Amino acid sequence: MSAHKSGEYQPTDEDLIERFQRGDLYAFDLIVKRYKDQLLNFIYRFVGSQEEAEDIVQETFLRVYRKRKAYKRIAKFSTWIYTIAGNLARTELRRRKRRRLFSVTDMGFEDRDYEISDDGLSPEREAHGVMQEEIIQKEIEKLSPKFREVIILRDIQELSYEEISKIIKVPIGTVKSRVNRARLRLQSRLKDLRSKK
Amino acid sequence: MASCEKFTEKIFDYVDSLIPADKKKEVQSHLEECSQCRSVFNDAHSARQQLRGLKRIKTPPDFDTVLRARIRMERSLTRRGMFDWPLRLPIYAVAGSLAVITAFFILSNFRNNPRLNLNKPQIISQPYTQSSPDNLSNVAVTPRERVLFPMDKFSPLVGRGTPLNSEELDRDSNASLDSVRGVPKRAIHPVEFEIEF
Repeated sequence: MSAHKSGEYQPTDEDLIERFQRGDLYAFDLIVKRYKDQLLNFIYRFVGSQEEAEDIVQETFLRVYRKRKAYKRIAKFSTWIYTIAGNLARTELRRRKRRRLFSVTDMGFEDRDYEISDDGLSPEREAHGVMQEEIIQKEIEKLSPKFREVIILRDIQELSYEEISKIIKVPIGTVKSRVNRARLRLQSRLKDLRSKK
Repeated sequence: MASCEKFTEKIFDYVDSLIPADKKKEVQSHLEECSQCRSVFNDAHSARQQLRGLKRIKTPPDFDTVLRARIRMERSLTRRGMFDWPLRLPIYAVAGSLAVITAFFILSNFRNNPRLNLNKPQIISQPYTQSSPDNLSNVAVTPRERVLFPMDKFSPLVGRGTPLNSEELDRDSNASLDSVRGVPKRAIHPVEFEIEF
C-alpha cells in the first residue's frame, strides 16, 4: 500500500500491523478494510464457493488478530496474510476432497451464489458475460491446486512473481513455469469448449 | 527450433510485460516470423486477459459485524479462560482431597484384608508327602488337603471342563488313584485339590 494517496497520509500495512500489535484496534479495522475484498476474490477463485470463501476470509482475519505478535517486519504484511489465507484455502480443499470420498452428491455449479456488480450491460450481454465467467471459473477449478493458486495470484490478484514465490515458498523460476503452464492449459480447455459449441 | 527455445522465456516475459525495452523488438520480430511461438504467445496472453477481466466480488455488508462478533466472542473466551481459574480453585481442591482420601481408604482396606492378598496361594493344612508308587503303605497324604489359589476366591472356573464341587473332585481323585495304582496325581486341578482315602 502506498504511503501517500491524494495528498493524504496513508499508513503502510506494516505500520498498521505494528500499531495493532501495540493495541490499536482501529489499525486492525483498517487492515480488514484494505484486505477483505482482495482476499475474498483470491479465496473465491481458489475454492469456487463464495460462502466458503467468506468463512475462510473471516478465519484469516481471526488468525491475524490472534497471532498478531507473530508478525515480524522482515516480511511484507501482504505476503504474511496471503500465506495464512492460502493455507486455510488449501486445508478447505483437502477437507472437501475427503468429504467427497464419502459423499456421492456434489454441489452443482448452478447452485452457487454470485454477487456480480451492475456494470450497465444489457440483460443478454450480461447473461453472456456471467456465463463466460462461470465457464472460466469452472475451468480454473479443474486446474490442480498448485497451478490454480499461482495463476490466481498472478493474473487475478496481480501480485509480483517475487511475492508469489514468498507466499507459496517455491523459487521464482518454478512460479513462472507454473503460471505459464496453467495459462496454456486453461486456454487450451477454453478453446476446446468454444470449438464444441 | 533452437531459436524458439531461446525465445520461450522472453515470450512469457512479454506476456507479463516484464521484458526490457531493448529486447522487446527482438521478441516481436521473432513472433512475426514463427507461427508456433505466436500461437503460444496468443494463448498465454488471451488466458491472462480473460483472468484479469473477471468480475470482482465484494464482501457482504455484514462482514465486519460478523467478524467483530467473532472476535468479541474469542476475547471473552480467552478472558474467561485466564481469569476463571481462581474461582474454580476451591472446587478443584475439594475434589482432589476427596479423591486422595478415597484412594487412601481403599488401599488400606486392601492391604489389611487377608482374603484380598493376591500374592501367593494359601495352603490350608500341611502338604502331602510324595512317595514312590511301589511303596503304597508309605503314602502319607493328609486327608482333605486343600490348596486355594488366589483367583479361586473370585472366579470359580465354571464350564471349562473343570470339576466344580467336592463330589466331582472325589470322583476325579478316585479315578486317578485307580489308574496309577493308588498314587494321587500332583496338583491335577488348579481350583481345588481334595484327596480322600
